[in-house]
Amino acid sequence: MALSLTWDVYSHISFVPRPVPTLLKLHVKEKEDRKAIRKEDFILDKIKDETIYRLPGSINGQQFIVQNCDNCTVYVFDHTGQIQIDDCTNCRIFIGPVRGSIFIRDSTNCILATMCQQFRTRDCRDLYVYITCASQPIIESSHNIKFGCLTFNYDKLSEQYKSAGISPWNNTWGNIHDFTSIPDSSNFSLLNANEHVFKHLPIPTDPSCSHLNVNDSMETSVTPYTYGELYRHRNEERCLVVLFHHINAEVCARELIAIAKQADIVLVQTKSYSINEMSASRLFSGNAKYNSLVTKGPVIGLEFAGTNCVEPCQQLVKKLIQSKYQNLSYFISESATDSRAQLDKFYNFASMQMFT
Amino acid sequence: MGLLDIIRNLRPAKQNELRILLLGLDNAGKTTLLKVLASEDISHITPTQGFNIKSVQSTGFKLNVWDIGGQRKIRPYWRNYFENTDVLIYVIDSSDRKRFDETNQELSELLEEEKLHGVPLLVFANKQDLLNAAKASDITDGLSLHQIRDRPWQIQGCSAYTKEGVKEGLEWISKTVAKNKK
Repeated sequence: MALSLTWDVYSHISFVPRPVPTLLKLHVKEKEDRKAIRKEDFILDKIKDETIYRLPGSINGQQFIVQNCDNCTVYVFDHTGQIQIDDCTNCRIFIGPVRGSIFIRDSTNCILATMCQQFRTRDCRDLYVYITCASQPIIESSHNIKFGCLTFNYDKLSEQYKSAGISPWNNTWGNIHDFTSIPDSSNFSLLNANEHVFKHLPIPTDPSCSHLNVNDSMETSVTPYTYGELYRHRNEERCLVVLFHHINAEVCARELIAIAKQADIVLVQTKSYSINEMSASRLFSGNAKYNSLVTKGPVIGLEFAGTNCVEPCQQLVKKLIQSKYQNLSYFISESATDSRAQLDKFYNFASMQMFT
Repeated sequence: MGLLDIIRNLRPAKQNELRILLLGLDNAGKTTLLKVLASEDISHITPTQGFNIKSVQSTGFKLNVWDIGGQRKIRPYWRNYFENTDVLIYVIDSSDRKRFDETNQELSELLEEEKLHGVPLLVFANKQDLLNAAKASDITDGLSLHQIRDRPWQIQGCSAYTKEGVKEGLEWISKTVAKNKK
């Protein structure tokens, strides 16, 4: 029960407040289910040399905490509300989709893989961090933090993304903000595409989770592999493809990514959001056709890169849409010069509309 | 009707602007709360690197709510926002027990600040929906709030995520501000 206490103050009569403790009504109801669940199932405390599994349905959007553990391997194959990892050493931790933030503090030499809305560290060193992160990951007073794009899949993972409100198309895994950056050096680095997560996180082997078909393959990953900041300052030609809201937009996007890869065209970044009409008219140079398309729902935007990639991208998209997705509306850059400006606008509008 | 209307409606007519400062440790939920106050969608929120401000305009009234980033590194900048504060809202992640001492320390320092002298204090014991959350009454004891004698204060359990308790906190603000301006 939340107890509210009030001091009444008559500041014009006297500067000494007159205390009037009053019992006010109960404001936040204690959840029925909070009593029924066992807290220790959600808090791993002071455990050493163990491997711990949480299967789908066992956490169901609740908070999960790992603290004071050493040399443990933890797999949470469920969606969660908020994660705290504190004072851990030599641990390997996988956490399913996190609706809110994952905060790791005072920990060293750990491997962490997760999908989350926010990622934060403080006072950590020597971490491998594999993430899908909807916002810019931040680090503070942390050193030697290696970030990688998490590619992952298991049965039910896709539904768990939805339960946690995490979109596989919004991933800024490599765009790190360091609150305590140091001159002429960096507290973090980015891992290459070949440093996939199971190089560092052990593959789960317990029979209890064998039915989940856990894998880290790029081809089947819920979050598509993106090069992100690894490609930010490279000069390869860019091409923006926007798929407007449609029941098959996600499937089409995944297929497009796969065939582009075969043509040596890489996926730099993706973004999904509801473009408002004002942004649409500026992004698509006032072409009214697109203004009505954006009102249908969120779009999926794909940034591709490769030597002279605009023309082959146009051909691939055209062929794919004509053969399988005739009712799906799309936009694609006309030229390399256009695409750079369009991409800037597309990302700027995204951060304005999503985060302000 | 947005939640901020509660305050707006009760504000004395001669005073047409209310400055509300939202402070608290990083990850306390300040930005989520800010968006809830402004009746905005809370599905996309990023860690605050500087500050966010939301102004809600109404007939003759303007409410300015300042939400300042809470990382240890940037807390020294909080003082840049103290001037002319009408109400201080201090937000706590009630489930982050590891940092109760740290948040206690930061709040104590704020209450010593000359520029915030006498400014009404609302403590939001946020994230009451999480299973490790401490009750508002326990946080009251932990923060020794009962010892505050130089300003009106209130602690309110809430969840910015479910919106429970937020309205009650704002009602306290409107009541307190009205009384102070008498």
